[in-house]
Amino acid sequence: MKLEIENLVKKYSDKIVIDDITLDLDLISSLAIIGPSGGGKSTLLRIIAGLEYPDEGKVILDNKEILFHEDHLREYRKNIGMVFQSYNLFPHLTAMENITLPLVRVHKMDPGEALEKAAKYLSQFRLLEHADKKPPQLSGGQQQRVAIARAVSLDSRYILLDEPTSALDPELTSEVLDMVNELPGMNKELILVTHEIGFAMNSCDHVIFISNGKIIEEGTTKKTLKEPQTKELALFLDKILHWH
Amino acid sequence: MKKIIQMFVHDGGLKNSKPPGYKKTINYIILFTVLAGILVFSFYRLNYSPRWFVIWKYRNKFLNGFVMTLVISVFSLTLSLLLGTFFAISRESKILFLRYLSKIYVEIIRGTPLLVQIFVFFYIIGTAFRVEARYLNGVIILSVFSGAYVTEIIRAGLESIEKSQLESARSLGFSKSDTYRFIILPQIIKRIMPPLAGQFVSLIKDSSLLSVIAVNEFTKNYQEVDSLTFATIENLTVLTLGYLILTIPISYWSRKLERKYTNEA
Repeated sequence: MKLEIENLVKKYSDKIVIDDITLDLDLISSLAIIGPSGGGKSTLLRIIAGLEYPDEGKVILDNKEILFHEDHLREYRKNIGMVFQSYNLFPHLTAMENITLPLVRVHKMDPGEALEKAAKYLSQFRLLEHADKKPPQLSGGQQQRVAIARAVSLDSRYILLDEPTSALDPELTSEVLDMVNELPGMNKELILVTHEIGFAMNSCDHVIFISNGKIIEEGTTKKTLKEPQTKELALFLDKILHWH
Repeated sequence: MKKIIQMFVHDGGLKNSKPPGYKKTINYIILFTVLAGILVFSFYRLNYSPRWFVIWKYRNKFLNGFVMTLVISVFSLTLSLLLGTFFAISRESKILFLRYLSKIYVEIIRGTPLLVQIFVFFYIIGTAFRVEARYLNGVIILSVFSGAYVTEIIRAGLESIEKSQLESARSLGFSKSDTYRFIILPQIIKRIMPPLAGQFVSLIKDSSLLSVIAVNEFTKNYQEVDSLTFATIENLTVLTLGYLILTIPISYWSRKLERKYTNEA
């Protein structure tokens, strides 16, 4: 994917969350956004997802500018698979229905066809046995995996994940990360906000480090995370890796 | 001595267990005996010899009133549900006129007694707009009154849906109407059923006030029978029991629903 960001600014009342970010990335297939809490990384992801309006600036994804008004965004969001930290699934619907409902209502797919498609992805991600369960009957990890399966089923090229494992018990994170790891092989392009530095290093080809609303460092993950150029990133990595 | 005291007290503990059946029976028997005693004593003091047969004579009038109360309450509940839904959604509307209208409606209706609303509507609005049918008047007044409470019930239901679900729906590209239809509505129907049933009980009771504008419901019929027979105590007994026959099952059902949904959640 090609991601261009020009002079992006986002404020909440008077607090500047994204402080004049400019970025030009090309020929990447997975991007990790890392940084301290409250630094603006989730906000940046939500702007790219078309869920938040920036105050200034432009975002251009694969040569198409995102126009920040509701009519355009509603169409745009249909082509973005978004996975949040938690509670992605609708609690009154089964895992299967959680996947078929958007296919039928938003993507106007024939119900039978939607069912087939949902079953295909549930089985591919080894979730078929949980198809008829409702979210409260699933573990947190299973819920996140169904949410990812739903995002994939939309046939979108882009899958955006906002700290998909941070609300999970540690022993459940690996099943979710394993699944995310399968996505590039399915021709999906990823942008994810994550605390899992090890995962970012192994699975993403590019990384940006955001702190205080600014991009402090960016580059290929292997190089950037192994040889941080700035004191901020070195300190951040030090803290995170201290107990790993 | 301790054993005797034990018959009358029950500590449910943390699990809030229910008292055993025999304790329940004994205490209820005592309670009803005391109540009956008060009643009998009152009759004795009044030196009143009841004429229960007059009730049988006017049974059709009582029955008509009873049915009319039920009919008015059902229509009012239906209409107040529509009003409540409209105003609850208006409360979140982008259109400011609707948003403020909803706010003011709820404030005014909840801030004034039903009796006053009945007079205002009957003498001013109803007359001005020539709503002459009494029953229609009655249903409109009750619906507008109850609608404000239903608005609040539905609003609480809407607010109980986690923001993250709305966010998910938005990110999946659901339209606003589909979000309401497929995501919000199926979930809040369950949650608002118990308070709505409670509201229905209130409606049945409040409809008695319509007797002041001569709507021929239960209480009005009681008054008419009373003016013919002067058998006040007998007639009041029928009136009280009649309302209880309507309200107790609904209250019971409402509590049952509430327990069911709390356990599910």
